[in-house]
Amino acid sequence: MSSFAPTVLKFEAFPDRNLTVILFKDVTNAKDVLDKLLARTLEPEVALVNPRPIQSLFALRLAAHKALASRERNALTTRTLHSELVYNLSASKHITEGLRRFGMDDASDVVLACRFDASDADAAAMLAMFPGAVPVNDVEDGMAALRDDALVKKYYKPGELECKEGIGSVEDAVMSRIGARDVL
Amino acid sequence: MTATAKRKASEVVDDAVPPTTTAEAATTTTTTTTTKVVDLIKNLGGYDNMISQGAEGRVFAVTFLGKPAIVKQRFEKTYRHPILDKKLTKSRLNMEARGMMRARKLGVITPTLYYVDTHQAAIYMERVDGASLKELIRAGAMTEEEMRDVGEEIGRVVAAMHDGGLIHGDLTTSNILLRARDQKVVVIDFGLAHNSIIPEDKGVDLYVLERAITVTHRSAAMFEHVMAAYKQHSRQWSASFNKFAEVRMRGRKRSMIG
Repeated sequence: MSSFAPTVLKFEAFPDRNLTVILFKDVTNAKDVLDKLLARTLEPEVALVNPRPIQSLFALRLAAHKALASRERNALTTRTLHSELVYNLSASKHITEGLRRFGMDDASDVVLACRFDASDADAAAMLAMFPGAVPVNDVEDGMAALRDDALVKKYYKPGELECKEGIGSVEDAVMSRIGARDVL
Repeated sequence: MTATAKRKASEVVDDAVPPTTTAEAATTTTTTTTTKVVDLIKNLGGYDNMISQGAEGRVFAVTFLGKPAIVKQRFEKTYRHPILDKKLTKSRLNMEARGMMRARKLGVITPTLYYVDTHQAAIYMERVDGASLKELIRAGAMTEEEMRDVGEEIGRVVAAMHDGGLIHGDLTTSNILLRARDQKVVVIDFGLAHNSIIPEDKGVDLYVLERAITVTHRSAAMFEHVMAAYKQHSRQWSASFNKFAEVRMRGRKRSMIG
């Protein structure tokens, strides 16, 4: 545990902000944590993401970028910056549906915990949030291993032609749906 | 009168911005004040890397989330009424994003769309390395064979868009790129794209393309390959061709007399 270092994502457009990401496996207390989150008593405030339908770390970064942009402009759609991150992972404008699909549920055994501008104490608190769970060292590989391609397909509906070799990838399709959601 | 209208417009705009949610601000640890207007393009250093400027907007080169990207920003037209301007800019931004995604779904290569920023009327997309058909024709560097292959590919691509009900709206040679890494045809600039299945619109699209391609004697032959491939790949080629011939006789604009 002591050798574990959380992944910190940076944003070119917001040089003074960052996102700390920790991927947990073998989570057993999802229900307790979720209850606290919903009661808004969870400290520190975090985004608890279901990693299964997430295509890649890049998709998470884009959703986080969008959340920061909305935050800076006082144009958040949801209640907090962290819930906005979860909502932004969705390709649809249906907020409840987005939070349900891309947020942790009470039976989750894997979770991607994210916090903007986390201090060392925050990161430690995040690690302590899921006692017994195992933080994954390489988030990118860990996410790829946990990804459920059928869920990605169901939630983002990438077209057959657009994912053909030479035209684009599933990741491209996911990016465009996250990035352009608000104008579609 | 105008001043009153303008003041009213700005009031409406101000109202649209929700007041600062102070409770939420307190929960985030950083103390950055949230009242300032962030300019993402400025933060990304885009203004120092302008690639081109047109009548509708400007294009900048940036790195977006670690990837080489371009930002296309539509700018404010001060000669238009601010409310109308906002509306038009927004709807065109939407049209462009939708057109790009639609084309992709139809199997046409376009830059990958990364992000649409409605606040700054900007579209962020993949930076495609390659040369425009315009440059290639002007340089006269393509062999007969290359021109045939590219012409056929363009015909196939345009047929795919038209059969899918997508009209590009500005099919000029500067909006067709040959990607450096695999020499594939990439279509860009969907700023005038719209959905239509009317043969007239397809005919105009083809006419604009013909005018753009047939600038030299050699490139004129290329358009024949475009048409041949279009005919081969489009199910509704005959209606499009009839309208194309009609448009060719009278020019792009429909006559308003009689």
